[in-house]
Amino acid sequence: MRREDRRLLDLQAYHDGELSGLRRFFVARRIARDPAARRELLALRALGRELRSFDARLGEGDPALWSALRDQLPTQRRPAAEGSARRPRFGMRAAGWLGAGLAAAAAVAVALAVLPNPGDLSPPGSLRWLRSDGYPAVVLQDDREATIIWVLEGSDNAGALEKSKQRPEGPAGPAGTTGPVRPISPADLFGRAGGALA
Amino acid sequence: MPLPRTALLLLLGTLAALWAPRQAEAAGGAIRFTVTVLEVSGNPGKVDPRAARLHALLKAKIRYESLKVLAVTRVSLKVDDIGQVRLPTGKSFRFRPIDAGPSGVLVAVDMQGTAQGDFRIPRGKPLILGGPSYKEGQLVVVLEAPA
Repeated sequence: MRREDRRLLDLQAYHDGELSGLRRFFVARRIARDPAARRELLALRALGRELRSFDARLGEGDPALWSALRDQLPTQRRPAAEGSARRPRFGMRAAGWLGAGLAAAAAVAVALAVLPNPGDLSPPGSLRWLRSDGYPAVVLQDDREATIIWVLEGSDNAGALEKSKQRPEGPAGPAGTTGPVRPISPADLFGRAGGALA
Repeated sequence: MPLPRTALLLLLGTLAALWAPRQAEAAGGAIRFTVTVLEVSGNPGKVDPRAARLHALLKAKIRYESLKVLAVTRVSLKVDDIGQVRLPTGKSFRFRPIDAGPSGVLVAVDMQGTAQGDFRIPRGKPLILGGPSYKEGQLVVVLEAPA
């Protein structure tokens, strides 16, 4: 198909509202820049108006009159069959789909580039999981200024436990204890602040 | 059609320009950690003035009479890099940032022979791991990401 023929088909499809998205944008831009294309479009519109006015005046259902009328209408060079102008050929449809796909990919890429990175979506709080190799551990993660993990692995620490007459909750468990640990009050374990651990 | 092709190239170029800095930030931005190793003891003694800030954090939670700074190490790591600090007990303290964001750093920590876990360290809020026996007291490791 020659370039002129393709342009004419595009114009007709544009006039008939058969183009979508990117294709319509490019044809509209060509019309805006090309006086010849504008003239063609105006001719198509004039033809459409003329046909509608005839329809309005003569009513419908008179094929003989329509045949006579058609012979008198200004001729437009139509390079392809009437059906092919209304339905874009496979290549044009593929180009349209390609354009739509590219536009969708670009939109996704822009969203990925511009939207903030969600990053770590795990729940708030410092501790995700802890394994203390069988030793009891105390987790103070609700402190405003620091997260403190204290593993009671030495005999001194065990002594601290004896002194406090408390058992640590949550983290105290068999070897390989995993999973979130429920923090306990430091006062439960260590008594008043300022003394010694051992 | 040269014009659509040009428009497409312009679009792709714009996308690349938008995308590249984010990728560079995600992939190349190093996170500076500070690892401070302390010894706390129930024996009477001084509090190391270099650890005044940490002492202020610890004194209300842990009972001790003396606090000494044994080492301060600064480590710059990218996400998924592994940092390692040798502790005076001969064991190692290893950590690996898993995810970094404006609110903090998610870090996998392995204090050899004592504890392993994943922790989110908010910027400026230290993670304090303590407990291993050392000399007459306990060893404390403080891991911080800059505020």
